[in-house]
Amino acid sequence: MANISEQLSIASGYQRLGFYSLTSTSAAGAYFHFKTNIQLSTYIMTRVEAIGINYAAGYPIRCCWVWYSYSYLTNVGTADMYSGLNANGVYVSSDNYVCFRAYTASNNDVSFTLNATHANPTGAGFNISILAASQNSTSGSYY
Amino acid sequence: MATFTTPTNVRTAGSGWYAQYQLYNFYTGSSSPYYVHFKTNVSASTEKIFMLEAIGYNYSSYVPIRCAWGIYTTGSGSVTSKGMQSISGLTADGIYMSTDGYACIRAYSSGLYYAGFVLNGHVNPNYSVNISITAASQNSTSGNYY
Repeated sequence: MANISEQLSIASGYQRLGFYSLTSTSAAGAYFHFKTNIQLSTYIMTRVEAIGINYAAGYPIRCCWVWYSYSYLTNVGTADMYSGLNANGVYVSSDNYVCFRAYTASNNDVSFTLNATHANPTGAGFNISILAASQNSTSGSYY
Repeated sequence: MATFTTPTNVRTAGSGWYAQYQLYNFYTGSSSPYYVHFKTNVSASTEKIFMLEAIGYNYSSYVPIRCAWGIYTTGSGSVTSKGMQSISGLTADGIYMSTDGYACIRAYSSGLYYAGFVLNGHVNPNYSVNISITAASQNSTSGNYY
């Protein structure tokens, strides 16, 4: 078995596993904001999923955001499969990038990685990245 | 960060092949027909235990896709369901054996317009198999298609 001793992202064409990771070590706020490299009018259908553990809450994390970056943000959905983190919303930053927001009231020692799937007819295989991330108390748009 | 950018599927190391990512990518521009059938390379004449999971985005219903099929090929010429579960976006609708003896699965959604998903595999290493999808079809067949 090969062991890879550094942070690893696996990009298998339509899936990007572990393309970003976040660990909170202090209770800096209940919201986590992520700014993606997807601008409006790029016509990319995106699914992002957070997987991890919320130590403070005592729950695993698996939650999901989907959206389409048409000329405006549309077909947005969220889903929480476990209770450790709430996929709280998707919005557009002031400079037209798609952002998504997570929430947990118990926010100390929260850790998760982000997986992405771009398997739809529009935007298939897109190489998503996170331009900025912040843990804070903003319940609306932060970027 | 190390990044693998291989445009093919990714499999975990070792003889067991536990996780097999991106066995297949399905996407469609057509809302209907509402069933999608997949035929695997896993023969009912071999005893195998594995799970297939669909992960993606149902654009028309604004929801993520996650559903799974638990499959057991008995080794004696039959295919048995070991459970199906559907979280959202797509229903794991059936497991059956093709007329030529291979494990097949069926998915259903009341709307597939611009839906897209990948199929990942997870294998019981004691009954290991290198899974591949040999055929796929979106059609109106609610029973066996292959």
